[in-house]
Amino acid sequence: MESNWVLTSCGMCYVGCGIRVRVDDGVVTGIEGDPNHPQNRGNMCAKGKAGLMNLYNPHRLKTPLKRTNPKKGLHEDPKWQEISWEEALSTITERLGAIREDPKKLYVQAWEVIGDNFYWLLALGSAFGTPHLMGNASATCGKVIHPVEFFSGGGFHQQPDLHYCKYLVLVGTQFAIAARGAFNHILRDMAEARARGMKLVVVDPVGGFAASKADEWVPIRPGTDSAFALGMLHVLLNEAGIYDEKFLQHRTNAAYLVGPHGRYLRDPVSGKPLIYDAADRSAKIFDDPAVKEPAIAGSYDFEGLKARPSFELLREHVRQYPPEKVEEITSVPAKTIRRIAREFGEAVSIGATMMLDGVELPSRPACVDWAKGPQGHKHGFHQSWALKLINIVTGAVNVPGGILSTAAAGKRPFLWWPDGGTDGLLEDGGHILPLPHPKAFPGRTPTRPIRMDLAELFPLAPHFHTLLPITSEDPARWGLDYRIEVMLHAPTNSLLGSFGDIKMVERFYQTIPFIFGFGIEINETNLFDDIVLPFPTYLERYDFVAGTGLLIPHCGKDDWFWQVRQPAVKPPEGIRYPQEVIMEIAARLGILDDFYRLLNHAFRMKEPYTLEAGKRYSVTEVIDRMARCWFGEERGLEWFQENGLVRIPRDVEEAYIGPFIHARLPVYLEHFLQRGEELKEVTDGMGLKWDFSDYVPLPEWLPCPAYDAVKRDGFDLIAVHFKFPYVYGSYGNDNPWIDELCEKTGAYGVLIHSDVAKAKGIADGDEVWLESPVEKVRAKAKVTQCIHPQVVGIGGHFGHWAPGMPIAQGKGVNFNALLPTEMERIDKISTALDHCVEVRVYK
Amino acid sequence: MANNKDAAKSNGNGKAPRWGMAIDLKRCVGCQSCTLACKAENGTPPGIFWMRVLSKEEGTYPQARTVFLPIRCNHCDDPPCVPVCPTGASYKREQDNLVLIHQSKCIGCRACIVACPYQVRFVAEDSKGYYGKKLTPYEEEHYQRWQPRTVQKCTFCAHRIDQGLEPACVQTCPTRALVCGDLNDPESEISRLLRQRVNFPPRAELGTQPSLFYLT
Repeated sequence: MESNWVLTSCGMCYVGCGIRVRVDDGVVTGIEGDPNHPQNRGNMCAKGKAGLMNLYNPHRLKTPLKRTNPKKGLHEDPKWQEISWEEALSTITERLGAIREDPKKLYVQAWEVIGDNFYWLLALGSAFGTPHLMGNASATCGKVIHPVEFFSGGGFHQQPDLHYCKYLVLVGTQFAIAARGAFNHILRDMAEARARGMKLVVVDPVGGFAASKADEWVPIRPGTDSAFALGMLHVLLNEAGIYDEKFLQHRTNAAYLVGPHGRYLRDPVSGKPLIYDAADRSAKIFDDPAVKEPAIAGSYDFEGLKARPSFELLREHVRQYPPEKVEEITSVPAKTIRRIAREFGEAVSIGATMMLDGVELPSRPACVDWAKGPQGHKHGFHQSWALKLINIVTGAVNVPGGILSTAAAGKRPFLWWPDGGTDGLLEDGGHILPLPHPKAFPGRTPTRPIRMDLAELFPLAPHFHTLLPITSEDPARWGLDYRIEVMLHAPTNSLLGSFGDIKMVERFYQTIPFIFGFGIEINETNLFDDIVLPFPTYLERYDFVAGTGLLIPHCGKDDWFWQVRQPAVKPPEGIRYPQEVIMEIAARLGILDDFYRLLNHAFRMKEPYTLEAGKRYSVTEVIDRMARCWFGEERGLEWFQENGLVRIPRDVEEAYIGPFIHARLPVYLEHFLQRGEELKEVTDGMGLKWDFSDYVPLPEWLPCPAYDAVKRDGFDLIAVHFKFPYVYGSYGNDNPWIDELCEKTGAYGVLIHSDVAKAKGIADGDEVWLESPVEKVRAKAKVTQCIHPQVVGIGGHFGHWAPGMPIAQGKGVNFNALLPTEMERIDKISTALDHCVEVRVYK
Repeated sequence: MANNKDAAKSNGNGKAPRWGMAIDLKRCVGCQSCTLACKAENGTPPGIFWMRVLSKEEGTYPQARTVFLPIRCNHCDDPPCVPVCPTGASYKREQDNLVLIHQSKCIGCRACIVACPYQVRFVAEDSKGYYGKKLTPYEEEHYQRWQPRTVQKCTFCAHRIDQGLEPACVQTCPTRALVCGDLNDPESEISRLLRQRVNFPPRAELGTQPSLFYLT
């Protein structure tokens, strides 16, 4: 028997852990974590361990298909017919050719960050010329965290520094227990931190995995996170007087003087913001080297204009949120808010320093972390921003023990670094690859939309796809005179995972005359395809970008890495490498050279490794060129195939960038005012009614529609979503091992509080109706004490019906389908769709 | 923690090793990585988990939480499943005290299943795989290791221990909640942990002398 171990990268979620795959006579017989891989240090999660059942799923797609039933619908049988690759590719080329003159009619769903697909599909869309490029997964995915990190962190995502943190507050996230990037790495760091005595406070409507391991679970009403944060800020700033004065003075815009109408007072010559120097009692430009004591308190008169430092405005603003008022909004007792704020303020140790590798750093061993929960609301930006401000005012950003920005800076294999810009504030986040995200600060100038996703009306948002189902109902209402005519998608399940109200998504997809994309199994999205192309599993692929280690790696001083994915086994006959399919489509459309130009740019390719116009490459040739370009002539694809990965040490400045970046962080979002005014001109001109309540420089708590809807129209509960550590998206839903786990652990049930269930006559395990304003489904009740009594908890990404997913069929609930999708439920800053919804539950 | 070297060397006090496991209930987050690592390593059939994580709610709102309890064969020092076996299929391996089953000697009488108070012995009624009668190439290979209608259970990954490797569940645990080692070696990490931390074996009152301890 021939037996060998193949070093490659897991693909059962977006993380990309290092794995060793055992292959006996061409059969994968085992998968283990690679102990040399810093991301997972030899460990693997349940999803990864189940991966070989995805590989050997007999329901996999192995040949291109075309639909013969022109009628499309959620439950319409496409009546598939097997076709040759030639027929598939020539039909695709013909349909794309037909919109070549107006390329914005193409919509590309590129999210599939397991590997290269993400960048390659975006490059194909860009080379074609469409702006409709969707590089994110869900209707909350990254909507707030990315812009916030771009202008107040420097990297892509945030991560508490578990190496030194002593007091961690998680709000609406199960960080390092059930979810998030670098999963296996942070799970161990969290266990070590807790063993070391770090206090963990979990603020969440659902008492899930994280709450169960917390020192304290604080149940909260959905959509009130900003009120909780503003209450904490009030206690810190006004009751306890705890804030990092030096940091605020010199590293933020806290001292920038704000005059009438909320705008900075600016130097008439340079246009730069002014500050008041208490040392000599004079106004100076913020970056004047003579500044000694920038004032962050007080009130000053300049030629008749009254101006105050922005921090003074923040302090005054949060006075509106005393814990007693916050209790009414959040249901969290005032004394709990006050106690947590004070404990946090004590733990954050303002003024403390520590030595690391001979470098003195500020030490701030306390922070607040948040993710999907606070983001997914009508006012999602400010729900989250108020939480981030707690870290900023205490100086706990990008320093040991505080909140760290992921992958913000690096020196190897080349230098990337975040930098300041407009008004001295952090403007250019650091990214190893140029990111397909628009600039978060100072945002863009709004204009009348020509994009179907109305990107022009969201000048501060990172993503826009949540608008598509809304605009496609009536494009003319938004001044749009065309429709999306072709959609290309990655092998994911956007129909169930990327939007809300499933009937609206159905109508949206029905308006698109030609849909093609990839499929590993035929899921619900593929049911709308005109042509579907078979896609290899992660154990059969090559990828230069293997997971999100480049964007959301583990933080701190632990080594970073680069891994190249290689096939453990060959893909079945009839499956082609996706990169080669993408290049073939580009070649047939005559845009291959443009495509190369974009890849060369995105991957920072240098001579002599750049992809050359007029040439054709195999996927292995492209990856080999990229690897040698980045890591040297000796480290081509073959080297990676033998060695798996390059470990990359991080210096103190890379790990803790806070003291080393030349940019200030905001505590006051002045640019929100300007963008709001500009936008108002546009929407007034279009005759649109628009909600500008979020275009404010300081965060307010504003209720979600569901918050007010409860007790109205018979809706008495709010449904929210949560995650399991053994489920990622729908990647494993048709995997029989993961399905069995979900059955055994009751993951398919919906959580309902015991007292509420009792009052409604619902017993554990009962079949119930779950009804939102837009959808009504059957569900199995899981009666529990571990949930806020006003909340229904729905976990995972279930609720499949596609015949190609026979194991997943009919199990659990698709949470997104319940979400009303309308402008009134979209965050006007971030485009997040509100992910809490009023429901009723009955037998 | 046991590592390859620990596993390979004897404990130096003349006694055969006694493999044991300490499970840190503070660290376990119920992620079920061990459950599926065991399944992937040992190719257990549908419905059978040699290693699993039970969960139970404790307390009342808002002081409620879920507690997780990984369970598996305790490789007891005085295993009630061994003396009841009529064929000698169930036995305690002399070289390291692991409780194992000779698949070829087991007649499927299930006496051991009745005798075991921990419900960690199983019988597969047939050789069906997870996708039905037609086994996947992986299952074809792994399902050679047990036969239908005979008893199967956690082997402490004896095949890995023999190669100086940790059991698959221990190897994969992301929070390092599982620690295995030689209970007869006072210097092993597990012995040290048991001295330092409050712990309990499952149902000590039964006198089975489990080799598994929960750290609380």
